[in-house]
Amino acid sequence: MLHPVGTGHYLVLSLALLLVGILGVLTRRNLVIVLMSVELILNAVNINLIAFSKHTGNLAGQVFAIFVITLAVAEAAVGLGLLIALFRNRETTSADEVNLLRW
Amino acid sequence: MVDAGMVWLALLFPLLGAAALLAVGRRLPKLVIAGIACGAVAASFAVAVAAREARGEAILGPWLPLVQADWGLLADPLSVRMMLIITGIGTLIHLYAAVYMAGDGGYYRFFGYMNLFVFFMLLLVLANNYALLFAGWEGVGLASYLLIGYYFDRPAAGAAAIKAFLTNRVGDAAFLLGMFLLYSLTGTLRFTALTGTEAVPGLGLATLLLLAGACGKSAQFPLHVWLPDAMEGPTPVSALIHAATMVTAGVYLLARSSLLFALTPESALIAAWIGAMTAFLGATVAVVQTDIKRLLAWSTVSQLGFMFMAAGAGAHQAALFHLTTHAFFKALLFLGAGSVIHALHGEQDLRKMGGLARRMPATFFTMFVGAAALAGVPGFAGFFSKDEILHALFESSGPLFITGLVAAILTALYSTRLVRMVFGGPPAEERELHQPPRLMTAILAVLAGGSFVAGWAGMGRFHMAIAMASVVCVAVGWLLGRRSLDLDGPLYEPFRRHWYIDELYQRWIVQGLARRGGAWLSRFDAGAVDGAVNATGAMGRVAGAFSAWWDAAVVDGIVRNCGFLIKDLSYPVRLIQTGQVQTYGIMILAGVILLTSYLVFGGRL
Repeated sequence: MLHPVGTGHYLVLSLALLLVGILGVLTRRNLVIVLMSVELILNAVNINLIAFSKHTGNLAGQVFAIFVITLAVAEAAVGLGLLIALFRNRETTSADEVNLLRW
Repeated sequence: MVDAGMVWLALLFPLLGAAALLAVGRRLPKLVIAGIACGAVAASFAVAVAAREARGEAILGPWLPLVQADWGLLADPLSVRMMLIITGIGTLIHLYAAVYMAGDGGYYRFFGYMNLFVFFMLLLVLANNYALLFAGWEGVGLASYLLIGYYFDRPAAGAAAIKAFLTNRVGDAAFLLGMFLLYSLTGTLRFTALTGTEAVPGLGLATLLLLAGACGKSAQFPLHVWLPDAMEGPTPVSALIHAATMVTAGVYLLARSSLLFALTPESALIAAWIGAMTAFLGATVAVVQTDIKRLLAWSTVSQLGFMFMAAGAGAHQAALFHLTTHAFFKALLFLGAGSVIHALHGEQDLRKMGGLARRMPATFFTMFVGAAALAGVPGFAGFFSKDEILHALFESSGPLFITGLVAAILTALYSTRLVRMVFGGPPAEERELHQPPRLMTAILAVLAGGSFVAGWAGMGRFHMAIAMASVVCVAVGWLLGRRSLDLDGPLYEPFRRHWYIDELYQRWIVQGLARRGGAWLSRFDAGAVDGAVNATGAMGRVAGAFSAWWDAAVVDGIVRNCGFLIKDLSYPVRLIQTGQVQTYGIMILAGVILLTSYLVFGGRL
């Protein structure tokens, strides 16, 4: 017996995406995967914003989601740029090996 | 008429003159310099003439409150008389010097010092207390030093200046001690307050010390050695300072202290005998001198001895009378000698002179008057003053009187010899003469007039018997002087060598000091001076070592330990900075969870 898809489902989906994203950011060694996981987190936030926008009938959430997508594009561009620069210098994309900034 | 309150004007002019000349004189033309210098002294003379009847004290202001000595001037017959002599003779000598020194460099310096001298000399005689008198006393010593050493490029002049200064210093030290003693005995240094002094124990010592001071300034035995050497100065200086005025300061001091000496007859007797010794010694040495200025210098020593004899015998009026006449005729003789030296292009040796009577008649005539006055030829000034002195000695003590007569014979002898060797006989050397300018001759004439008139003007009671004896002395001296010009015998050896006194001082004091003092100085240098330097160095090294240790141990220690402390304390904190981005991510997440939990559940936990 199927329930109709409601706000709760979106929130669960959003939460799942968020957790997957966080897990990816914190545990994956490859920085490309880490960047991808950051995208997951941002999209989890987007789903959340839109779900609440539909639930309350306030369009501000949807507008905000558009802004987040724009920001994500910029973030991906800068992140990948940094990653390429890192790779050119260190021949690595492993988060473990990027640990110069410490005492 | 000027009263006592205005006498300070006489001091003002020479002081201003000296200040102006020494400050800006270098740039002034010679005529202006001479004008300032002569004008200042002449103005002083005018004040002195106007103030000749002034009597009384004028306090200008406080000076040394500790000994109650003020800037005070005292005008009484004694000081006014001295003031007239100093400024009167001083004016003539300044005028003479204006011509005589025209060819010398440092004209302004010469006249600056001369005016300075006149100022200090007037301060000396016008002071109303011993302390201010001493200030003038030291001032004239300074001026004398500067003027003896005027030709500073001549080593002899420098040495003579130092000798004069140091010899005077011996006397000055005694004077100072005498002054201290006098103050402690009587509680005052003011002349007018000292009149009521009574004979207290110790007063004799005080007067003896004052006498020693007078001996230094007036070139009395045993401190007479500086005066003949002082002839290294220019001739007008010899005339003004070392014949007419400064050297009479000692006689003035005795006259000023006459009441104190009256209370201490022993000191007065010592003064008389010092005078007698000096009169005899100076006259004997003068007899064999071959340098015209040195002959006159030794004659001055001898004549000052006469004054001391008189002052010591209590005849202060006679001493002052002789001081006055001597000022005239000795200034005359010195300035005449200056004319002769000038004419002979700087020649001072008597043996190279002669036959000048016809060629320099004016100088001859005036110097003849001066020599006659010095010898005591009847009618001339020296006759009257010496007559009074001899009379006083006759009444006081036989031996003193005899010494006085012998010195009088010798005086006539060397006076005759002086005139004969300069003016008489055949010319020793034929050469062109530098005729003295008319102003110089005119000044000589004025002084010659003074040398003649001063005796008649000051004549007191006339003593026939003494006068006869004195005439006999002059005649004997004249005869001896006529006969023997060439004094070469062994008899004269002690005279020629100044009774060995200079050699004695040289051997015992100067060389002794030089040798032993040199050794001592060397030890002092090696021990004290080097020691001080080395000790300073060593202390510096110790301080440096300590400073280095302090720096390394304490300062660096503090700094480094601060660092270590912070480093050690920060160790646990440092551990969380791994450089791993993901570790930071976990921490951020943990922080977010904690904060969120607090915000959500905070109120209930």
